[in-house]
Amino acid sequence: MFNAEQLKQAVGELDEEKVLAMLREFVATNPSQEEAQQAVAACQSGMAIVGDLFEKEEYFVGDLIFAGELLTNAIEILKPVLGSASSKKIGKIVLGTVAGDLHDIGKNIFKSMAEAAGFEVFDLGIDQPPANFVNKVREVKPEIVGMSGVLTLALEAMKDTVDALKEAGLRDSIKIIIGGNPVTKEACEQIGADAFTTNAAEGVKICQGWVK
Amino acid sequence: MSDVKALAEERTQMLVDVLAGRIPKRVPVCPTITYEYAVEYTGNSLFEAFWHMENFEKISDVICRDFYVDLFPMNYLRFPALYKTLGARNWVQGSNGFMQHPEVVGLLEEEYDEFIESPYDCIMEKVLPRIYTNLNTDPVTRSIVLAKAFKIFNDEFGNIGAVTAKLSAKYGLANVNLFSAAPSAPFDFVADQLRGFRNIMLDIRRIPEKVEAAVKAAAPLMTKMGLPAGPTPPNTAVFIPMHMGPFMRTADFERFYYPTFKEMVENFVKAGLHVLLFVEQDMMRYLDHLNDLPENTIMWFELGDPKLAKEKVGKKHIITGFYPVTMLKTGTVEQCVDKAKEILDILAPGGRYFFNFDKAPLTFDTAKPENLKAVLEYVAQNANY
Amino acid sequence: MIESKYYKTWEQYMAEHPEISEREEKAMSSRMQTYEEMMFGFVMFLLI
Repeated sequence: MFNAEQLKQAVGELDEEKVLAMLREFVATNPSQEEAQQAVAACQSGMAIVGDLFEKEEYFVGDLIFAGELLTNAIEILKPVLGSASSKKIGKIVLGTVAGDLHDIGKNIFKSMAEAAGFEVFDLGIDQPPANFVNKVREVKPEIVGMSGVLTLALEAMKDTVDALKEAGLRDSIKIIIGGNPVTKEACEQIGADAFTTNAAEGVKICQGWVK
Repeated sequence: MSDVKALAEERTQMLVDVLAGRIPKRVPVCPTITYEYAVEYTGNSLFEAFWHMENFEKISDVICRDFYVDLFPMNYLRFPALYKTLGARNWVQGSNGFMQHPEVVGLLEEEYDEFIESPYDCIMEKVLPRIYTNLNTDPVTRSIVLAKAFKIFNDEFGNIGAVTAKLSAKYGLANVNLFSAAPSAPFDFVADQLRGFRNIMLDIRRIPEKVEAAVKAAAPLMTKMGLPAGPTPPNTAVFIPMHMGPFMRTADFERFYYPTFKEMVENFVKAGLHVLLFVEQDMMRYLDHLNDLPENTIMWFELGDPKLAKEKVGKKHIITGFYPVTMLKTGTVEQCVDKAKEILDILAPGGRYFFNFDKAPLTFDTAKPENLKAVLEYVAQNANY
Repeated sequence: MIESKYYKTWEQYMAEHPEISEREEKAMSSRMQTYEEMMFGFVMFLLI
């Protein structure tokens, strides 16, 4: 068995060597699926520490990127012992960078943090026209749609996407969050989204509030 | 002396005073207006306009005519003809005409040592062919591609230089160049197109010694890029956009970013150049570092607290920026002018300040022309010392 | 100082070309080196 508190702290401190060593040692003991789930939960709690430190401005975007990578590697090590008992998902998010915008760094940070928080994320990719959001929402019936963009022109594309979701009669069944440099309260209202953020950790918290 | 010539001299003097830390006659009005904005303002289409830079003069002329400026406000760098010829992966024209910058990795992790050993050789042999696909071809094709690209580069910058001089003379604008070259901070150079944003963030935790050495190896290239080949012309500044600081922890900034950056700035000053930093995003936590740079470094701030900046760096250095360009989209003329008053009240006292927005308006719909006009006029008519 | 196969200062160039006479050097140096510097500037621009 492993020390959950130590694992959580090591993830929070982004001590990659320590985290990976602990998990390798743990996997070598041939743990049960339930124990493996506890290790995943400890990693997720560690990511919450990362989010807090980000809000306190002790960590910055670069640290979030590293945290996402660390978590991916950690889950990779745990996979063989996780078996079929995949962790319970707390909700589904359809995510994408809107049409005309090719940026994906912010979107990817949000994705890895949302996954760490237990969401199942369907990532459409960059430069996604409204129809792709509509189709994916029809297909997977998520609770939440996340739209990302860095360029100011992304705001227009976000509005088009919300309008398309309305036209398709899907708007009322979902919450919409927008993220990225240009988003503001005014822009959020104009676009018709439910929430906005320029901070991935905060965005994940908002999403968690929606699925509670 | 003709009127425009006298006007140019007066405007030059105002900027020269500011750059020397003296109080000028009035706060100089030096907005940067993107070519994208100008193209749409004049009713042209972006997609075609970037391919037809011969219209740069006609379009810029309208901007100089319609908006109050003390310094030529236009510039452009991302010529699609150049990047298309090279088969670029780092700059791609989107369907809306905008030149966008996808993340690229020009240098692989296993190539760090090679770069550290001989950065320029490594750039020529490994990095350029990886980023520019048409250079990753047979030697003859490659030489043709490079020859065409160099010709385009020279033609386009030659045109922009000539138009800048011509319109500056026509409108009596200041004879000051704030963008003589645009080297990156050495860390930004390694981060932006060599390793990429994501990789560099992993590298500084996993292989910090390599990153440090690579940044040191890049520093002489960036310094050389900023220095003029001949004697340094007067009233000339090198432009350095600062990218990565806001995304890093302060301790990482101090280790990886600041030392080579500071040395580079010092080298430019020693060579008789001014330095214009674009302090991107919110860098308020680095004000002490910025204050430590050679006297009268020009700092163009994007976000943050203008009062704090004036207090911490404004006695030793020159400040510009801070005016939120988003105001020009959402505000009324009155609100926009009030914002200008507010910014001037904070930043103008004691000199060491010229007016610019926090960033250049990127598209036509990011700034209502009537707001832009009103703000520039207001500063020009009221910000006297 | 940059040590590279692909960029030479005039001194480096001359060291590799002892056959160039003084008269030739005087006539050609600034012209030749201008293009060397321009190419360096161009290459670096491609990574900015």
